[in-house]
Amino acid sequence: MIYEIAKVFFKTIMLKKIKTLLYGTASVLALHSCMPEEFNTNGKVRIDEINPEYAIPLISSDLTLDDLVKKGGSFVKKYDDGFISLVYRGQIYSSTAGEVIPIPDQDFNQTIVLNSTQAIALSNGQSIVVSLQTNKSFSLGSKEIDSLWLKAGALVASISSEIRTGGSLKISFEDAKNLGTVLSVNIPFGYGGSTPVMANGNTTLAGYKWNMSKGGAGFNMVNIKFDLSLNATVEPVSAGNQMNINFGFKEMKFSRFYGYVGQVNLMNGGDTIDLSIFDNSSMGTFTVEDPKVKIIIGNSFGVPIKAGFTKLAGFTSGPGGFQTNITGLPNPLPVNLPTIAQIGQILYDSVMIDKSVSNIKTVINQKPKQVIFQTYVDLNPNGKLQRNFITDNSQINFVVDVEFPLYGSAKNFVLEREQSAGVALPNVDFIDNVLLRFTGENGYPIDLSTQVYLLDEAGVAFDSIFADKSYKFLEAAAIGTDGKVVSATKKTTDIVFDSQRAKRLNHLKKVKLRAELATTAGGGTYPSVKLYSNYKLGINIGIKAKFKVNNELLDSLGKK
Amino acid sequence: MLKRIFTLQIIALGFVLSVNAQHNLTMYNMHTLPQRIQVNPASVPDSRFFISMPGFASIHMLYNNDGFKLKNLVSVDDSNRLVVHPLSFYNALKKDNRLGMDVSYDILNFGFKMRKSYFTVCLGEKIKSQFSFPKDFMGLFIIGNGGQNLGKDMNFNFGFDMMAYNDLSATYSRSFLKDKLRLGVKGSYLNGILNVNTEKSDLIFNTHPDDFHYTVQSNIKVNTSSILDTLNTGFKPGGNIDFNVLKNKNRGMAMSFGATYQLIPKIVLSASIVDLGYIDWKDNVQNYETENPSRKAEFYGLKMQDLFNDNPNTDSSFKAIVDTLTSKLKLKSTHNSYRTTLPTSIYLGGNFWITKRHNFGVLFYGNYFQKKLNPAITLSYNGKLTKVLGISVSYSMINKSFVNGGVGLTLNGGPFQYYLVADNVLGMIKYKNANTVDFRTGINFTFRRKDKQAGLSGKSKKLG
Repeated sequence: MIYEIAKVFFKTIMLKKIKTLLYGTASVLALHSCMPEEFNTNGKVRIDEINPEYAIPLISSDLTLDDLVKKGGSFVKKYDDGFISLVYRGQIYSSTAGEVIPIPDQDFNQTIVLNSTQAIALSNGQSIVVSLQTNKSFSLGSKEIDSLWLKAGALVASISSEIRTGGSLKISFEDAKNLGTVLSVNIPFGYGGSTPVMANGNTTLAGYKWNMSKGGAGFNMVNIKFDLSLNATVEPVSAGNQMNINFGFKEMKFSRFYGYVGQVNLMNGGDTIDLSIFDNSSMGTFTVEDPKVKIIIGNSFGVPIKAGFTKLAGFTSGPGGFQTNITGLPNPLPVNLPTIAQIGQILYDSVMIDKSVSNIKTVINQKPKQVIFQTYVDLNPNGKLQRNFITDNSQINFVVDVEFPLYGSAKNFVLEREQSAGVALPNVDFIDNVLLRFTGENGYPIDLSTQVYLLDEAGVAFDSIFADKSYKFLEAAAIGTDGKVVSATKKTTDIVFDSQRAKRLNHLKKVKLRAELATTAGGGTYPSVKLYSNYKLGINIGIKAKFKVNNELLDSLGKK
Repeated sequence: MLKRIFTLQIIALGFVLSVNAQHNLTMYNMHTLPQRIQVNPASVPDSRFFISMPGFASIHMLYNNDGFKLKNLVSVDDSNRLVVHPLSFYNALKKDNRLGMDVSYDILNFGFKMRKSYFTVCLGEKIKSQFSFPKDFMGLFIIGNGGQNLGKDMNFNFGFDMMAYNDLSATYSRSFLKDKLRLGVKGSYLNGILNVNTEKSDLIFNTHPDDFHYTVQSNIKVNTSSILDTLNTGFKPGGNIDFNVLKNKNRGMAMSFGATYQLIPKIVLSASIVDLGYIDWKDNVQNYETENPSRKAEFYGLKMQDLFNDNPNTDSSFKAIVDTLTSKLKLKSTHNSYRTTLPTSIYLGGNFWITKRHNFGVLFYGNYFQKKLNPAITLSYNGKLTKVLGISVSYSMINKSFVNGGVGLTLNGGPFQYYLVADNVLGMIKYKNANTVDFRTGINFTFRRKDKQAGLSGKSKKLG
């Protein structure tokens, strides 16, 4: 029955309704699909306010002692057990031997005179050779050369002859050889119808090794051979006609010097070592249990040496400054000399002073900002006791290490430093709040209190990050019975800037960082602690900011 | 006449932009339309022979957005201003949001009945594309990483998939059990043209709740293949293509199965599984894969040492960060062939025949793609109102949307048949709520149409 009703319904009424529905729907669709209202606005756009919150990791650090204290010439010295020292190093170098032991120019002359036999032979149309051997001595004052290796210089010679013929003059120095070749210079000359006959010649000295110990005094000796070849001539030649020879050695530079260099004051100079650990300290006590000064002397002179310090002192300049001499340093200092087989090598010796022989602990605990020192070095201080051997690069140098074995205590030890900083925030109120999060992990047995002052252009603090100037940022790490840290301490500190406080950051030009260190123990004592190389200080700074993104913000951005 | 057809086509295409529709859900029960065979090989149209008009056989467009609706993003206030609702938009998003656009175009399609059997042959081109974007990425901008996202693994897993291929298919169906049961099968030979396959695209970003440090970890694998070697042949978009360089090793196959069963004279049950297949991509393959997915890149901030030394150098710090990210999230490139499966659809339906021309249908639909099942359910009325007009009206629930009302029309003039199927007509009226558009149109020539063939078999003759 129901089925029959439905069938009729569909064949009659429903069919009409479906047709009507179809036409109706098509009409609506045609009209409606013409233009969605979203595309028919007045061109203005509004946005519902949202408050996104962003978190950004700003700064991270995992600071070892290297990072904390290393600066300039300082470094961290690690011992086998991990114990560490902080070393501040200063160095000073003497001049080189080549600079302080010059070989002055040497000038010589010689005359060759014809005898009658030689003059007749020439007049009879014969050519002749006149040979002459002689020796001369280098003029060097107190210096004595046994032998010399030359790396630069020149042999120069000139002649002035009244003999009316041509020929050549060869000057040879048979004790000076370069790979077997004798040092010599050859000067050809010719007669042009008038006298004197003039000519000159030169040759380099580089590469020659010259033995000056033959004959005479056994040093500074120059053995010379002249070979004068004269051509046959029809011009009149008389006995007594002569040739004047001037020769010399110019701008000689040695690579090795054997002999005696004389008494030389090699060095009178000094240097300054910055103890940067105290650069920013402003107050409090800092005690190092066993500071040391170690002096390393490096030497490559084969010469008796007397060397030492005329001054070694802790020093702080300016108001409240001081200078305290550091005692206990031996004088002279030990200097290791190379043997002749070690010529050119640098040999080292050293000396170290500590609290057992010196006042070094007292001086260091005065927190000097610098250590200053003055040195002297004398060569052959007692005269000619032994033969010397040097190279042009022979030098003496001093390395001064001021060593802070990091075993000590600190009480209210304050470090302060100013650092440029600045933030540019839009002048609109779109910041809801800003949270600065400091997360720290202290692996040092040292309390760290800190404050960060925010300074304006005039250097006036208009805000500070933490609640007070000695905010306990991180507690000291716990120490075991062996004196070593057993567990690091962790702490998170949140600093909230509301929108008004955040706005003031526009004035920020500098920050003044203040850190206060203390080796605090129970009962308010400040025991000495040891620092090891595996200790770390981890500080991460993150920022979380909640914004108001709304039409005002968009408008302000649009205006810009 | 031809001019009118063109005009009709243009109007129909215009609907695409604003019509909400579904995945052939209306067409499934359109017994006057030969194209229904594509969604159930066991279905037969009311004509003994049909041939689609070459060039206008079938154009099918499917836009699918399972994420947000327009009303979630913008509205117009009383002052006629466009109001943007970022938070509403964000809240409307799902974890992964997909925008899909499929276009298929049949070049050739014909079929005929021979005794108890029905044969069809179809040649078409198909383009399936899908872009997915994560809610987390929008959340990064709209609510930030510092509030409820603090400590949360935010996955910026953007994805893009695209598959273009030729589909040459043949369908065969036959009735059994005195025409009560009909079974059909379709076999397709697939020839791949272009593929972008985002297999994995995880980019995990985490902000640590304690110190706000960032952790980034990636696990990305993207495969691409094209018959044109765009990387090495100097290919320029818009330029002339040297067709000699085209390759043709991207091959695949697909099978579809269907069945209909007349439970009682007025009730017909049907089921089908469509596009169970794959394509092996071998031409000009590029695979981009994260070298070490377990590797994490962490950023704790700029190094204090770099900022507070005598010569602060933030440039080197940023460069170091970029270098670290680049090395830890490095992609490696390979050239290994790969296989992609087709999105497989399952249909389960039942029709109650009022008369031999009218029935009501219920249809359960499931689309399985990328390990996700997208279900839908459709109620429909399907009728052949006159010899000229066949109509289906459907109501579907899909993508958690309940306003998907569809219409299908076949207009016959002699053998000439124009058809139009749009599943989601209600969405046109409430387009702000719409997130799906499914539209098909085309022209067929149908011959020897008879009502008795409408449903399943000759038994339906008794219904009249």
